[in-house]
Amino acid sequence: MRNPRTAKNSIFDIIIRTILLLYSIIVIYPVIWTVLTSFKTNQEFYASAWALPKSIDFSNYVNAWYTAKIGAYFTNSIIVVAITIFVTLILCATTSYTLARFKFFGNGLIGKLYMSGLYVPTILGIVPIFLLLVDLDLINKWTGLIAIYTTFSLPFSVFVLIGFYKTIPNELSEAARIDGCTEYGTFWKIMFPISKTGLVTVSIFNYIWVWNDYLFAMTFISSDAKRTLPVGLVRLTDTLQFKTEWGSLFAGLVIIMLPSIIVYALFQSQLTKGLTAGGIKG
Amino acid sequence: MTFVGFRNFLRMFEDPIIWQALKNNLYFMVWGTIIIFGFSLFFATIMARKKYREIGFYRIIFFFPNILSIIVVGLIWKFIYNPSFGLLNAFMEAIGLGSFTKVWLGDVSTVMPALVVPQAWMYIGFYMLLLFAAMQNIPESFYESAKLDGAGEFKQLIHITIPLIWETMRTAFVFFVINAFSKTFNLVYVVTRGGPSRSSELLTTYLYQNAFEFSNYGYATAIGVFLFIILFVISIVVLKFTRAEVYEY
Repeated sequence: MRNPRTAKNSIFDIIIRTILLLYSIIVIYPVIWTVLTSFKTNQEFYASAWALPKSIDFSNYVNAWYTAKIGAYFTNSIIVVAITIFVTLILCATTSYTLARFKFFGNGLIGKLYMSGLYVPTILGIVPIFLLLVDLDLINKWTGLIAIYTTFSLPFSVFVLIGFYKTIPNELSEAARIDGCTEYGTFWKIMFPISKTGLVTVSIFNYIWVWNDYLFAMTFISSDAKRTLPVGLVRLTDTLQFKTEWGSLFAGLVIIMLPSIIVYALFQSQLTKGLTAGGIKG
Repeated sequence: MTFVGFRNFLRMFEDPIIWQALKNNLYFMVWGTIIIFGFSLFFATIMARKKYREIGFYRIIFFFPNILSIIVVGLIWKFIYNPSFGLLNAFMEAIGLGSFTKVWLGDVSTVMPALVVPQAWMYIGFYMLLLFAAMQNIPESFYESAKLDGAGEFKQLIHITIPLIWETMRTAFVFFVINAFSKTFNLVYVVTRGGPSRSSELLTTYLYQNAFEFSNYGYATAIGVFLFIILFVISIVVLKFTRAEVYEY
């Protein structure tokens, strides 16, 4: 069947497609501009904002990585993110499995307590957490930072995984029990591997927020040697702009974006599905 | 630390910076809502209703800024606004608007709009995706019968799409309000530090400054409590006034 209003619709369609194209340029061009600028020398930089770099020169990257210590911050960030993701995985998998599949007194209340963490803006907790870390002698230590990251990763991770564990049929764990598996054996040998998709999804989300976090890292870490990448980068902006070494700054921006772009390219569909499957329906 | 009763709260109500900061927070909330929800509703509708070949690609691109650190977004936009090498002034000169170029972030009259733009740039894709997911649950037959009755695209949006995704929009909106108060902290802290002369100060940046620059934890926490109450009241008011019949389908 042909649409009787084809002619009118096609003009409408052209307008909409143009708007979509224009908006995608607005989204993507600033990022491309950042990458292009990171290859420019200082003279090229001030000459024109639009011009392409004359040659692909990696000296800005070398400067950023070694002289500006972006490499050290990068390593710090990798370590902190990796440990946080690992600890969160163990804690959230066991917690959500218990909350989803066992009936015990206080089950509902504990679940709700975890969920309430989704609705508290992190900045409201910053002063009490800071004072707590000082009291516990965990300030300016990665242990303290990782503990806080893990705590703040749990509500969303548990929320996603509870939904996941609830869908696994009971027959599976019953069969395991009949075959002589203990509760722990059932969990580690069957449930943990079976929930791989859910675990990968929460890990991607946790990677994104911990890798990108600025507030906690800036507040809880004060020594330069322990700084993570976002804090290091902002510090650089404050010092380098007076030395007008803009190239290294743009290179630093590209370095911090690169891992996230790779993660997004690899897991894009999982990320958007995980988000829309229940992201904020609390 | 000594107990001072309500002294911190009394001091707060006499502090002009608090009211300036609250005004800026509300500015972010109102303009953020209009721009972000306007665009994301528009894009989500197109993504759900149109079958262009390139639409999947745009969905990936529009969501992309959400995976970046708000620090990166802030720094990129700080550079875009830079008066000596930034993209914006260069762009305006290129299209013949050279006389309107400004020091966008250094001017009291332009700093707030200049900060709302990166916020929108980052979050439009996120809310677009949420609304899009809700729209995909609407059965195609609803639109077909509306078409038979002669309803155009706009009428379909008003009478079918919006009522049926209303619950998601409410939740998304409350979520956005909380974010408009909390996540703007990073943006403002990195881009302007609340300047020039406190014209982009937020309750959150003022809280942070009091706690970690002046070591005035009591006053900072009082601001935090004030912020929490405001958020709570706004969320309740929003949920009450947007309550509508839920359509089952």
